[in-house]
Amino acid sequence: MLKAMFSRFLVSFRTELRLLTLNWLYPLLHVLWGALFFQLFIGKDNRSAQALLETTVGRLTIGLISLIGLFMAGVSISRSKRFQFQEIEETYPTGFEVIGGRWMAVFVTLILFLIEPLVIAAYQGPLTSWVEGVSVFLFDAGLTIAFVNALAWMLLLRRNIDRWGYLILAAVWLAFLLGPSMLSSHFPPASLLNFMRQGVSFYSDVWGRLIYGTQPIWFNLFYFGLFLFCLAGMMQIVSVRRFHSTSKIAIGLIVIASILAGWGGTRYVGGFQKASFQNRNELTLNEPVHVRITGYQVVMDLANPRIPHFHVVLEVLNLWENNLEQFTLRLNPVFSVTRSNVEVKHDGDWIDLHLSRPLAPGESTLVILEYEGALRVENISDGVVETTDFIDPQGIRLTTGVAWYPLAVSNGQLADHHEPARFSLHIENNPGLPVAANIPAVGENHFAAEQVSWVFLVASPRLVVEQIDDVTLITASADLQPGREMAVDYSRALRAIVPFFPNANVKGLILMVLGEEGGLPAYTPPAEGYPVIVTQRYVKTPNTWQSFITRTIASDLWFMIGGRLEDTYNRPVTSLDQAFEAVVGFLNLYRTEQGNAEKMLTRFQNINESGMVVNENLQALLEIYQQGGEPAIATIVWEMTRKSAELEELPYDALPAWIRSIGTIR
Amino acid sequence: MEIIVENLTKDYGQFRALDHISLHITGGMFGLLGPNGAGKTTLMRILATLLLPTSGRVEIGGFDVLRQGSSIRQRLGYLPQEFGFYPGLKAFELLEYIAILKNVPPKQRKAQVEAVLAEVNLLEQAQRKVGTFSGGMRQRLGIAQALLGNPELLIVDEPTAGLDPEERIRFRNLLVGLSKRSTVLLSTHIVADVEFCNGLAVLEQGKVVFIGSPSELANRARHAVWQVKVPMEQWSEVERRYTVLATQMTNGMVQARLLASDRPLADAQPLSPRLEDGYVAVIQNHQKQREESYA
Ligand SMILES: Nc1ncnc2c1ncn2[C@@H]1O[C@H](COP(=O)(O)OP(=O)(O)OP(=O)(O)O)[C@@H](O)[C@H]1O
Ligand SMILES: [Mg+2]
Repeated sequence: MLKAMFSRFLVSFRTELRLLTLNWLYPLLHVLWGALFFQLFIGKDNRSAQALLETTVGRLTIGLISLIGLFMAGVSISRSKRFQFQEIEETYPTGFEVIGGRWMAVFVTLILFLIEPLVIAAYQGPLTSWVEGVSVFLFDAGLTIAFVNALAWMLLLRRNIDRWGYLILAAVWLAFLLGPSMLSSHFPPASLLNFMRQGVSFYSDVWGRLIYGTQPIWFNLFYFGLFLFCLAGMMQIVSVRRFHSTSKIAIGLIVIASILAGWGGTRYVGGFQKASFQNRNELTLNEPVHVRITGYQVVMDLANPRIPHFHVVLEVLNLWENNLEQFTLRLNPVFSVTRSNVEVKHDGDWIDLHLSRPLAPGESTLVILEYEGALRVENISDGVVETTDFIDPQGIRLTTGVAWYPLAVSNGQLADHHEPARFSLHIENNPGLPVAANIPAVGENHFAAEQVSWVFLVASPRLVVEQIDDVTLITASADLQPGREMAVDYSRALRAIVPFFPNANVKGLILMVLGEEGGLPAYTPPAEGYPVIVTQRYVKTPNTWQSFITRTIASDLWFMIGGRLEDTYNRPVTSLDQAFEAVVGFLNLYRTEQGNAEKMLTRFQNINESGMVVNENLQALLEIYQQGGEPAIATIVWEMTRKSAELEELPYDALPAWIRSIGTIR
Repeated sequence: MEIIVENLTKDYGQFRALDHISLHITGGMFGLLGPNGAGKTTLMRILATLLLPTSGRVEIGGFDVLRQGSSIRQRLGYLPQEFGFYPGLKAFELLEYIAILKNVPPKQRKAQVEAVLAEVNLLEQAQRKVGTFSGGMRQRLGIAQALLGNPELLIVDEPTAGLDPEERIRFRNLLVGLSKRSTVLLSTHIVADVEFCNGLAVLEQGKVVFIGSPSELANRARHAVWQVKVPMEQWSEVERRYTVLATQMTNGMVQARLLASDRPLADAQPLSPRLEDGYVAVIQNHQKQREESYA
């Protein structure tokens, strides 16, 4: 009996597969499909193979196959009716296995459309990344295709579809394609409905799925449940139509499917509630901060990586005009203080410290704190719950904003930076994770620098740290190749620009090509001697790319020689901003023409002739450069950073004259 | 296989296609006759488990059509009035596919496919795509698929429509042979097709108006079939008054076969009734009764 049923399933599968694939339309579709991917991605998207499969290429694949799947299912379901074979076929002693076999044939036909994206990803490489990505991609795509296909079968089996039916299906597809993404800003859990995974990407180059926790599992469980449900629905429809009775197996499956989908869905949505609950913490400290931490010695002990232990020595300076007995610091509430040389009270996000001996104004003291706890901070971004900060046996990601080390900050500045301080960070009992930070490594598992105003610590088996000339490249292994190219670009730019900032005392550049932004500050100030660039991998468009490099390096160097820079958004532009812009413009010209003054001037004039507003500030700089060379410009830059207050007051039209006056003082 | 139909009614919405039909078919070859729209196809589709009755009971070989459809399907060969196949498959492939669906044991599959192809005279076309078949060839392929699996019950709805005379005779003989071991239920408009049936039923507007053997059907026109010979000028008058079964023209005279309860013309010759005459008589009788009951 079972054997006969299986051979009916098989023959129905085989026949349908032949009918679907041996049609001239099918190979044509594959050719178009391959051409589409080639056109869209080859040479245009430089993500690693796994990243392609998890994001751009993968999403497009799944979305479009879903649409193709609706029509393929329609073709297959209506075939017998179209050829008037149904009448005959329904008198055969068959059951669900025939429909099941056809469903399976459509499924396989659709799965074959994964070949082209896989080839594109393999071509992109690296191979290790492809190998790592292929199984997850096949599983995710397979599950989605199985579900969409079963859904289409269930709907189309119920009603005999006509032309309008296809239109309605296509409309539903479009609604699900766009709807959840549009909803996700108002109601992020709507991403659960995004069965085509548009915008639902559980992937990070550095941590893989680690930063998404169990969310991908619940998401997939939900769809596995729905898939089973549709399959059972098909069974039930066939049973009622052909045997005039409900199928017990189908009912059982529907119960199981509902439980699975319900469970997965609830947990997925629950993840959002947890994350938004975490984020509801409103931090207010209603007293001014009277201390500044001038030095940090942090030891992070990972003997138990789930519950890391911190040993911190703080150098605390009294900024108050009075004797200080008690002050408040910020520390993440998950940590419990286990030991200290002062009296400590932990209250939510704050720790109150009571000194045994009052601290005189201008005096410093050492405070020792030991604390431990499991840190995992979740955030909702683009409709997905992701962990911005965590310490896990498989990876670490820590941004200053979560206060994983004590911060002397007040209500007004709870953001991502603190006052610059000497900083030393030791990681003990590292379970073997490659680790890196935005401050230079001074030894194995040891990072230290002066003038540190934020610390970004990352660790992952996929992390690679490589020294390329004066650039320390920190990136995911899959991104190593494009990362190296970036590092070379940065190194070249750094060498060209540094002579204009002789007082910056540059020792090297730290380039973090990580592609994760969650929790990172908008502006990433450098530590002493080390400009820090935190960026995503990029798609190279040479012009904008080179000027981007100039700007990012220049702004860090500007800062390192003591200049001020402010976010120009939401406030009036001042002559100070104009001055910095003129310097960036100059440096860009300088780099494109390798410092040749004549050529720089010609290019500048060409740009002006092309109808752009004459930038008189830049013109002034060019003239001075023509006469005085690099030292003259370096002097002007230095003066600009010294006299920022003066520049802020200066009217725009006075700036060129100001620049010229500085340039001729010498 | 024995077929028992009791008080079977089938409504399509407001329209009653079958009206309290009762039939008992014990085996052999059984013919269904009736004008277009009489309900033959509807009845056959119910027997073939494709349609549910509105009310009444239908049992085939002891199996209830409603609850034991699969047992019936396992024993059934069915050829619908209108059908088609996947045009991209070759005849042999198609029948092999169907043989698996009909649970023909793997060892007999190939032989059986060849046997049915031979029976419908399609062996030479076995490797041709079904889409290239002529209407008659497709009809024969339809018969072949019904024969697969040696069904105990063969239901064929107007199987000879579209066949050339040679194939029709061939098929008729095939059915006669099959009816020795299986029950064959056949519907047709061609009265000659049912001459070999053991039993017949005539349907009219959803009602059974006759059940019996072919000779009994012919007998319904006993003493009512006449041959007349009239000149052309009088023909229209005759045609208006009597039911004409057949005509023939011979040098200005019309020779006709008429249906009439009494001698229509003085020189009319009584004829022995044929099956067709009986059929027409039954239908007319029924129509007349209905008209009377309206009046
Ligand atoms: N699906 C349907 N919906 C509504 N009415 C139907 C349907 N199928 C058949 N009928 C009606 O039922 C009546 C019987 O149809 P059926 O096909 O059984 O006749 P038949 O005796 O097979 O006729 P024919 O000799 O033309 O094949 C007809 O009047 C037809 O219009
Ligand atoms: Mg019919």
